Amino acid sequence: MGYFGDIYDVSKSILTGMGVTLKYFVNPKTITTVQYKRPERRGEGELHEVPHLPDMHKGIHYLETEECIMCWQCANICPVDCIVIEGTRDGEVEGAYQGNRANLTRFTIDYSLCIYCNLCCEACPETSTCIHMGKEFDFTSYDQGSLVKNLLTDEKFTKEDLRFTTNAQSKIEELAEEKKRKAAEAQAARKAAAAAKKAAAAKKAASTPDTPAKKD
Amino acid sequence: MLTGLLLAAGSAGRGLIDLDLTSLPLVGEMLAEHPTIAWPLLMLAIGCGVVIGYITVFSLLAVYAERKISAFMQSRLGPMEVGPYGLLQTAADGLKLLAKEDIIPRDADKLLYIIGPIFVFTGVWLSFVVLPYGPDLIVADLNVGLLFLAAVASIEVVGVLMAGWASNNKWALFGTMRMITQLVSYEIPIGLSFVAVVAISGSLSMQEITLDQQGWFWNWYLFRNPFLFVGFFLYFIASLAETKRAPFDLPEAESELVAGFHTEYTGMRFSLFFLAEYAAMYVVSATAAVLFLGGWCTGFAFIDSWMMESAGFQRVLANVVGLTSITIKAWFLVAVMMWLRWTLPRIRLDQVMYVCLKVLLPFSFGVLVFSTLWELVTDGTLFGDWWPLFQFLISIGGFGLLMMNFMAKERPYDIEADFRPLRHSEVHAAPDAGARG
Amino acid sequence: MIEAGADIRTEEFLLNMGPQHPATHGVLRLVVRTDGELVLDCECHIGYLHRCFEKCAEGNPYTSVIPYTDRMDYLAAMCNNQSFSLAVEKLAKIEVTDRARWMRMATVELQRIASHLMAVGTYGLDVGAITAFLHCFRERERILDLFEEMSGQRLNYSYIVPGGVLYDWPDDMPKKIENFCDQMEVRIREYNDLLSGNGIFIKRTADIGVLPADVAIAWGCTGPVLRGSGIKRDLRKDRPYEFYDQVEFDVPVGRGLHGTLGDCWDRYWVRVQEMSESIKIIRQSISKYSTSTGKYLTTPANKQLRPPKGEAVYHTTENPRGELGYYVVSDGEPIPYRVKARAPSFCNVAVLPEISRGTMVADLVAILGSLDIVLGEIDR
Ligand code: SF4
Ligand code: SF4
Repeated sequence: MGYFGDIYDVSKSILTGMGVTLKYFVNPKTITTVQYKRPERRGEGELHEVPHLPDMHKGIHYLETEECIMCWQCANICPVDCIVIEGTRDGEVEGAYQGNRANLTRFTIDYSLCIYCNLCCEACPETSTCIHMGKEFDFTSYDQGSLVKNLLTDEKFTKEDLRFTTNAQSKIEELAEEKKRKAAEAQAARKAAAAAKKAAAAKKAASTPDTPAKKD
Repeated sequence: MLTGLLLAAGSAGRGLIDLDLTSLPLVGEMLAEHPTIAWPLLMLAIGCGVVIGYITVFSLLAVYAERKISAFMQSRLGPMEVGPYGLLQTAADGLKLLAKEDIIPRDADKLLYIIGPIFVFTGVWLSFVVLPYGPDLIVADLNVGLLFLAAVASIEVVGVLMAGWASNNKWALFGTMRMITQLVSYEIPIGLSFVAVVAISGSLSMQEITLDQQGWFWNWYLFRNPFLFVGFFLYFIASLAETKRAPFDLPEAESELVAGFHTEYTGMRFSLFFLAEYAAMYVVSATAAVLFLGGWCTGFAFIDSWMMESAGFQRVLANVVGLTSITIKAWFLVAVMMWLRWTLPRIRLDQVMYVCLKVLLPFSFGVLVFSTLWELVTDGTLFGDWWPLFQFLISIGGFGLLMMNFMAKERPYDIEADFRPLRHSEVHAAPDAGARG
Repeated sequence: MIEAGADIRTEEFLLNMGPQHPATHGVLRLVVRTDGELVLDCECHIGYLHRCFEKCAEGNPYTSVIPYTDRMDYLAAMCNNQSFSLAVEKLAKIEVTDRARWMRMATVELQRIASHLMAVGTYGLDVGAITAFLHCFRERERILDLFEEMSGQRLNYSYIVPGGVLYDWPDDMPKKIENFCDQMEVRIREYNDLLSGNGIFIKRTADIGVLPADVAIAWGCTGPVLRGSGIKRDLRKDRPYEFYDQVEFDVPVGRGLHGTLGDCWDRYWVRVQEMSESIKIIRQSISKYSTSTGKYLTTPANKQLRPPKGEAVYHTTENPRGELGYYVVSDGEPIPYRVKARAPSFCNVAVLPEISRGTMVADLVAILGSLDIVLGEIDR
């Protein structure tokens, strides 16, 4: 290329590049920035109306509590284990939220952990698809602890909520115990019944050994 | 340097301010009692204030302009939040810098660390002394103006060396070494460009150089002869390196050296470097305007002659016109610097030296020699009074040919090739959507 | 080089580049031994971004591993998803419909363009051209918009899962992708004007960091780094997966246009050309997708995959950065027994000391940029 050829080529390419930037500079149509609409500048009911969010957008979850059957599918598939579900299917707990044949005392998602993968929504059984991801994305706070959302109240998970869940825990355990007891009782009863039946049958068999054969 | 300060002060009083300061209460007393000490001191204060104010305002505007220019070149909006169209953004940033904690690293050399930025700033600041803004608007019309300009520009080198060395940081040291290599070597092409101009004007005084270019714009030194035309570009390129603007911004190449010699500086001290950088941009642009683009002359013979002949209130008006003229020229060059910065990649240190020693230096020598020869041969009046116009046409014609050559092979393409956004809101507008199996 | 006289004492200089440094593309730490501006030696220290991907994968169901793969090469999450999904599909013998395959191919190639845009843009940034970087980002943003409409995410998509893709495309998606391809072709020409052809850029990158073909093979380099050295190896051609054997495209290789074969400019240029090739593939996939049938997902996400005990597969795909391989072992449980990833950036960055000796500090940055590493993948 040589010395002068080099200088020529470089200055030519510089001018070409400057041409590109100049074209952009003088053409306001090329501006592609879309300004973010800050929450305080949005209207009252506009929270979900953030422009340009597609329908698919994965934001903060919400839960259709009445539909939830408390099957723990979502908590199990969650890659980071950030869903906490507490509650019972065994009976009434005072103040609990009514699900589908279940009493939920706690359903929280820790957004300092959640990676917005949507797998929980995918995993929820088809009969009761009840956990969804909405379009809200500005769930913010100044400390990590308050990044937990209570899906039952659609608010941040507060101290009162925590107290409630702790209190409810004993009731749930009670219920579980009662259920276990009942189950044990039922089983014992069943066993007893079975044993009684067996005994009776044995007795019967002993007393009337020929009867079945007769029946057949 | 002190002389420079005093000079600045003295002439600031003479040229810039026409106030009756003696009427102010405390100052008046002082002046009456100690006239020999108080007058220079007062002038000093006023001169400093005016120049610093000018630098600050210019920097604020230039930073804003740079942000907006870069944003528009990059399909962005730029600052939009603080004030209408983000106008107050730079002021807010300046306030933030002022309020920032001033950190001096533990192992730094404290004294040098502190005076480094001051030196850097002073060098640039002194340059303002000899820049003419109008027929009367010059702080000090030194008869060695151009020499003074070249001399104070080198103060910056000392300041940078102090700052970089005192920071006790390896990146800062790297930046400093690069910076010094660059600044010292680029002074040669700059000096040679100065000499080429001085050889024609016959004076080092900035005011006289300006006056020599009066009349129609083809009298400007830019069009004085085809060689000086090239000389202007050489000076411009060298001044890019002198002010460490892209593509010569390697002393503070953020992707290589974090921030170069001012890596360790925060707050006010950092903003001094910052101000100095932008002020230096203005100084070199204004110098280029004075040397090649007629300074405060407007390029129209009738306005220029009116400016020189006017008196009284009209004289004030003439000064304003001159100020506007040189400001527009300087701003245009500053804008081109920004344009270059946002287009070009950065070059490497050895290439910087290559450009200086193997390209700019021989070319500057060529410009000096041939432009002087040209002047000797044509004697400025080869075809009578219309010779300047012929020279202008020759320069422009040559440049035009080169440009046509450059642009010949450029393929046209459609910049708007659709900036139609691919956004959600457009989803339902797509007419024949829905081809699927 | 200037010969220093006996009375001038010169000293070597140990420079710590990173982990917090603008040019290291993440948290890579380079310990550089310099003599003035000259790099005598450099050493890569990695591991600042280690997140136990492989261990985490051993504790999660197969589907739940997908979000973890996103975070390996976060600039090409789709490709990671695809690679792992292909491995799991091979392991658990899951069928994928034609339509899902075409969808996958289009998305993965879009992702390749996005990733190369990032590589090209940040490379411009490394050598100081800031505008080119933002122009590339603008186009990348469009791809992210498309991805957001497909998957709801803009960076870590978790879109391609074993058995297909997680969600169906909106009806107008093919149209939009075509629109994007039309735009992109113009844009690539513009990048060439702005950056690739720029004299300063060529001077900065040509003849710098020359990686000869034999060295590249010896160090296990793959992807554009290997192809930049003139070796035509692309798994999409050599060992086709999905439907890559049914589409037409070229494999661009470095030709030493502006200097020696295998320099930084060649690697850069391979990436720019690959974007055009990807556009070709996308166009073909879209037209095939429109005529193909089938479900987009064959196995629902909450179905537990239990590959047979003792099975192990290794599957490699062509990531934008090179060969990405997943080795997955099953012991019959719903969670994998062992997952091992072969990350292309890991091998590519290893060659850095080899090719950067004797260059300048500014060149070191340029070489590192031309290798286009992603630390999330190196450290895992
Ligand atoms: S989105 Fe993913 S990480 Fe978040 S709660 Fe659901 S499964 Fe867990
Ligand atoms: S998977 Fe659905 S139904 Fe089951 S616990 Fe979660 S939200 Fe409730």
